[in-house]
Amino acid sequence: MKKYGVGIFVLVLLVFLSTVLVSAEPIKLGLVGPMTGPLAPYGEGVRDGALLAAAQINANGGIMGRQIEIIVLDNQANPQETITLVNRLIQRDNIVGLVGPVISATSSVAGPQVQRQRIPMITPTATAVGVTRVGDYVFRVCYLDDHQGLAGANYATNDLGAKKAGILYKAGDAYSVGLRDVFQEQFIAAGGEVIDVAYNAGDSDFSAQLTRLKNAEVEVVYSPFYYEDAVIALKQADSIGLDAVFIGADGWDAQELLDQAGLAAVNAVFTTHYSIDDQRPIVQTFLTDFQEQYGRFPIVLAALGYDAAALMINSIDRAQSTNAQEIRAAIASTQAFEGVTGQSISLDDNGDPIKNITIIRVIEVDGAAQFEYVTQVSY
Amino acid sequence: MQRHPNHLKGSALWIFIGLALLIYVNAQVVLDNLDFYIVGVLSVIGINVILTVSLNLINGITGQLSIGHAGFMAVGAYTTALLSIHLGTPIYLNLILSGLVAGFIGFLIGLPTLRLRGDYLAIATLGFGEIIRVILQNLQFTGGSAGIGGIEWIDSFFITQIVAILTVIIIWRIGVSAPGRAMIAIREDETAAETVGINTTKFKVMAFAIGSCFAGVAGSLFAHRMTYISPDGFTFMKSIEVLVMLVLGGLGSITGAIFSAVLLTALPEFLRFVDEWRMIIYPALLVVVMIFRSQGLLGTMELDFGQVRSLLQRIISGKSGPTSELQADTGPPILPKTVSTNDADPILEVRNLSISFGGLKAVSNFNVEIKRGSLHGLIGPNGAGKTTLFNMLTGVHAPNEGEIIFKGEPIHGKTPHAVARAGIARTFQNIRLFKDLTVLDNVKVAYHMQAGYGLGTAILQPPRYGACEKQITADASRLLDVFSLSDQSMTIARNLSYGAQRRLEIARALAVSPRLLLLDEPAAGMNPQETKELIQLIRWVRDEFDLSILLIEHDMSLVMELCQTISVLDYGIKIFEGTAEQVRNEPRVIEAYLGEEVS
Repeated sequence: MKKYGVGIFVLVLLVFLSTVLVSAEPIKLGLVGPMTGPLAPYGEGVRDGALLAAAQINANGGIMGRQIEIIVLDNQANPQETITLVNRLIQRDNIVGLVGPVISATSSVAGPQVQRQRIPMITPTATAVGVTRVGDYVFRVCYLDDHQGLAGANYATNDLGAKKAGILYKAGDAYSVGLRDVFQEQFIAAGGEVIDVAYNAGDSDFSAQLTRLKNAEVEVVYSPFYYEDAVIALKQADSIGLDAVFIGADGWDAQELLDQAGLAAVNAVFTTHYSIDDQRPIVQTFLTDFQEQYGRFPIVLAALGYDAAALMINSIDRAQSTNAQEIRAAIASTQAFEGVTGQSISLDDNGDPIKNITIIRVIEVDGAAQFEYVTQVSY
Repeated sequence: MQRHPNHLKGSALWIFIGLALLIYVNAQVVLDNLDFYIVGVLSVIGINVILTVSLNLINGITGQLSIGHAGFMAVGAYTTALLSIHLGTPIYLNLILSGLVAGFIGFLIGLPTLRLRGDYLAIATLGFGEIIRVILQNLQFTGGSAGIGGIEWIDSFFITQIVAILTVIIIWRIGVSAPGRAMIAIREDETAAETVGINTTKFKVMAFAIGSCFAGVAGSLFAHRMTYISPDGFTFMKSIEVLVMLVLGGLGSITGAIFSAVLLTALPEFLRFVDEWRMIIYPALLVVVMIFRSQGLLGTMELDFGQVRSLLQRIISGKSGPTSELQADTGPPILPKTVSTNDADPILEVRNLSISFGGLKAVSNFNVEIKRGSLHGLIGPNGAGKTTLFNMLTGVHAPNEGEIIFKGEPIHGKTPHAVARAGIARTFQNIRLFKDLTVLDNVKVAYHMQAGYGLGTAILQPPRYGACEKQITADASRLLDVFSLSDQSMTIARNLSYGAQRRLEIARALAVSPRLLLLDEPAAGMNPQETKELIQLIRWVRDEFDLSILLIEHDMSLVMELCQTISVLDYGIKIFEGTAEQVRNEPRVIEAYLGEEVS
């Protein structure tokens, strides 16, 4: 053994040195989302949230003695471009995990790519059911369209005691149609009656549809679409005297809704990911740090971007490894992870989160519309 | 560089070089640790090349505006998705089936709309693109608006490149073949194309179905690359994106289509380092190109290795311009002469022909007999109905009443191209050449019927193809010789002198191998010397090609000298018929038309 002693010593030294050298390298994560084009506000929100999570951890010395680097690429919400970019991040930049993509259409094409190449992916915001079903390397931190539709229907039935619901939805839109389907099924299952009316992309007048709902004397109007359309719907409902309670979805969670719809929005409720009234330190620190860092208020998707990146980094830390397989295993075994959008987030076998859905109501305070935290519901 | 994809001696070599280059690039890429980024960009380029080049066949080569290419891509993509998910069929089969399904739907849409002229196709394809998207959004088995996932992932890089190259070769070969010339002729002048015997509906539908077929193939590759597709990927904007690539490269140029598909796909990737600005550079580029080069980057030019080589040779040998042998004017060249029939039956018999436009009777009860081998004149004041009569004889207008018997067969009610095929060719009062084609191509288009081969031969190019094309070029060149146009055979038709354009139009009409030639004011705009030469030429043509000629002319010296029989038309009614001498002395004719001039 003695004559190998020097050799072994040199070998150990080399391994040690190389570890030190490698450790100096940051751990690379990728983020793909729309940074240009009409969906840029969502992509930028997710990006800023994710970068904030990395910055907070880096400021505390990183993990495993290494810093976190997030490489951000713009896919313009284009699925074809997403494939190219995901492969680029994996092949060229050697990322160990992917945060994103933002919308469901791009996440649905990114999933098979990461699965094929065995790199874990956590999408912050893709709510379509199929996204995580492509394999065991694909996860998300947001609840599914299904869950949100259920929560909306349950709230209408249990909390508002509604028996007759109208649904206004956007024809041909996956998000809107998906939520309508679930809400309708659940509401009818609970003994309710549903009248659904559709509008098309680009429509800016819903008065015909809303009049139908008014004549049908519906008690609630389920409205699964984004705030731009919600502003129109709320204002027109107000002007024709339709006084049913509007139940929106997470697409409504934007300051613009209050600014543009004003008092017409009062009494409307919607399901969303978190409330800024939540006093947990993690939420308040997120809000403070975000505004300090970027000089503006975070959109709701920024909180999800923050949680996705934080969960990815947390999992790498728990795995104590940059091996993609071990990171994947760590993500899959996530239990009671505390995020901005959930006090205790666990992942199920599909890679989907088990967490509460927040319900927000619009109230009038000193003549101005304002959001108010109502409750949290599970599904 | 060369205008128009009609001569492509060096194409095989080009394709070989292209293939070699691609294999080289591919090998490099494979060696480079399989960089999926580059591979991905190249795959997208390949799909965009297929889309743009196939749209070029419809919009550029045939001149029909289709703005629903994404719809056909969607058909192909969903066909592949359903096949792959439910039957697990291999990609090669999916490619073929998707192409066939998209092509068939293209055929179904093209057939009713392409019978009509004008922008009906644009409206129909726009509608189709939307319909297919809405249908896909609402069908359960295609996943509705949420889309359909789980399509087999295929690293489609190599196969995309191969299919892209095949697409370019096939569309290129169609473009330079007889069917392709027919399509180009339709783009240039649909009426003139009909009168040289081209079934314009057939070729428009053919081009549209083939273009749609390749859009389906592109969709199939797209589906296998994406593994998940949704209706949102095939919106109107996608169609416009392909159209923009085509227009930027130059409508009608395959090289341009490839160039701009590569440029517009790769550019945003190269510009990644400038972040948000890259999305401004892209549209700014479009604006700049359209302002400074409205015909597109390459116009209708094609890159042709043969041309480049001959240019190099010229530079090396210091010669300026191609050496063309001057044609001797003496002795007309021998042409394939048909056996002269001494049949006494008239070649054309017109009985009680009438037509009215909105209550106005343009021609009424017109009767005429034209003997074989005769030169028959048709005169009358402006608006007498002479050109209307020609239009009825050539099938452009269907007569309300009466019969047209040509070679013993009734031809009234037939389409112009069928009439041309039966053996009646014509020229137009206001010359209708294929103005942007070369002189030689103008005549070659008209040899379309005698080409003796179809689309399959055009694409596969068996030895027979070369022989046929050689024959067409030789025949066309001989015809140009006769009309002293061979020196200008490579000139663009619009650049010819007026007289030369008239001669070319007659030459083109003769290429149809007519038995009856209708000349509408052949001497219009000619000086006395040119008219004199024209008289000799017409007589010579009649004898040499053994045909009968019916001509409309206001130049009385020409009519009187040439025509054995002259019919006089006034207000749509034949007021007299007889020899030149009889016409000259007929009071009714003098009153109606000749007036002081001849008396």
